[in-house]
Amino acid sequence: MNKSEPCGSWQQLQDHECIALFQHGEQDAFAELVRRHQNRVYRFLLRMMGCREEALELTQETMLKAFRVLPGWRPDAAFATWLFRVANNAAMDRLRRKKVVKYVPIEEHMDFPDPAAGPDDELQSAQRYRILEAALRRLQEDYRQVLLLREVEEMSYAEIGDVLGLREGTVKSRIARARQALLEVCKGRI
Amino acid sequence: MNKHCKKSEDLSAYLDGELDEKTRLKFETHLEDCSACMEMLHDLRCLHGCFQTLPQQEVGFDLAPAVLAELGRQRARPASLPRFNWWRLLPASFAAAATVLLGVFLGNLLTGAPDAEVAAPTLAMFDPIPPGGLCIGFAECYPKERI
Ligand SMILES: [Zn+2]
Repeated sequence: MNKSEPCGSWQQLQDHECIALFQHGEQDAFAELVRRHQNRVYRFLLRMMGCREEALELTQETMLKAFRVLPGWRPDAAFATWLFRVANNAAMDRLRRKKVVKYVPIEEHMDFPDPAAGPDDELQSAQRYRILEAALRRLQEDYRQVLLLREVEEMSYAEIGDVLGLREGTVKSRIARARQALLEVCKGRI
Repeated sequence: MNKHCKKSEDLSAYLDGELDEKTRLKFETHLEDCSACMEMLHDLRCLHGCFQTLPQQEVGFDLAPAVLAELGRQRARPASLPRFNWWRLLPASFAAAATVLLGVFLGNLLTGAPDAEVAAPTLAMFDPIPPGGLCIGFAECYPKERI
């Protein structure tokens, strides 16, 4: 593929095609993979870390790792799933180092936005997602992980199992418990 | 809060379309008679709707050039080092330094005996070697009662 070709031609390729081109020395194919996945990975990390700078740093770290791994990549896993696995490991390492991996009791005082603050539909919707984000931050990390992967990334249980290194049965029960916990945190507020 | 139902795990998987056919049919029969599960299903659907309203934050710029530049920087670092690895010279440097120091020390023992007498009390005060540890031989290095 010619380097001077417009970005549009890259967008038509599947991930595995970009990977194959990159393995043949086409660096623009890697740039396309980064562009394609950077926002999803970033959003996940942002909600895991709660900090834009850290989320950006870890997104870059994830992509750097991809660059090193892709030359020997075999297409036995989806690239996106693999990226999330790397991103999730990076987030958990960082959280562990910061010693903030802890269970926050749901009874603890919470600084939730007031759901009845605005009569306007749009405003109410904004309030709801702020309440949800506040509730997510209060959840223990392993619950937050599975809920983000399921509800936001819409991954199947098998994919979530791949990302987190868990059996599907464990994913199933963890998602159920995480939902229960989240409902308890924001019950009546959303 | 919902009354807990033992089937809440199946309920969650039902919502996600992750139950196999047989379990799904069985659960649907249960759902018809379980108000707790019905209420929970409603709540979980609300929750799912709320997840859909979360803002889609973006990086805001193309990360690829930044990643490639960082890779370039990381590659440049080892490449700029000499191929024979400077750290391999470390043992030789230490050996040379140790030889020189030993020479100076032995020279002092032979020629500077009067100086040693003056220096010894100072050493006794600040010497990090604990009493009973190996010492080169000044009597003042040790507490008097042990001698
Ligand atoms: Zn039930």
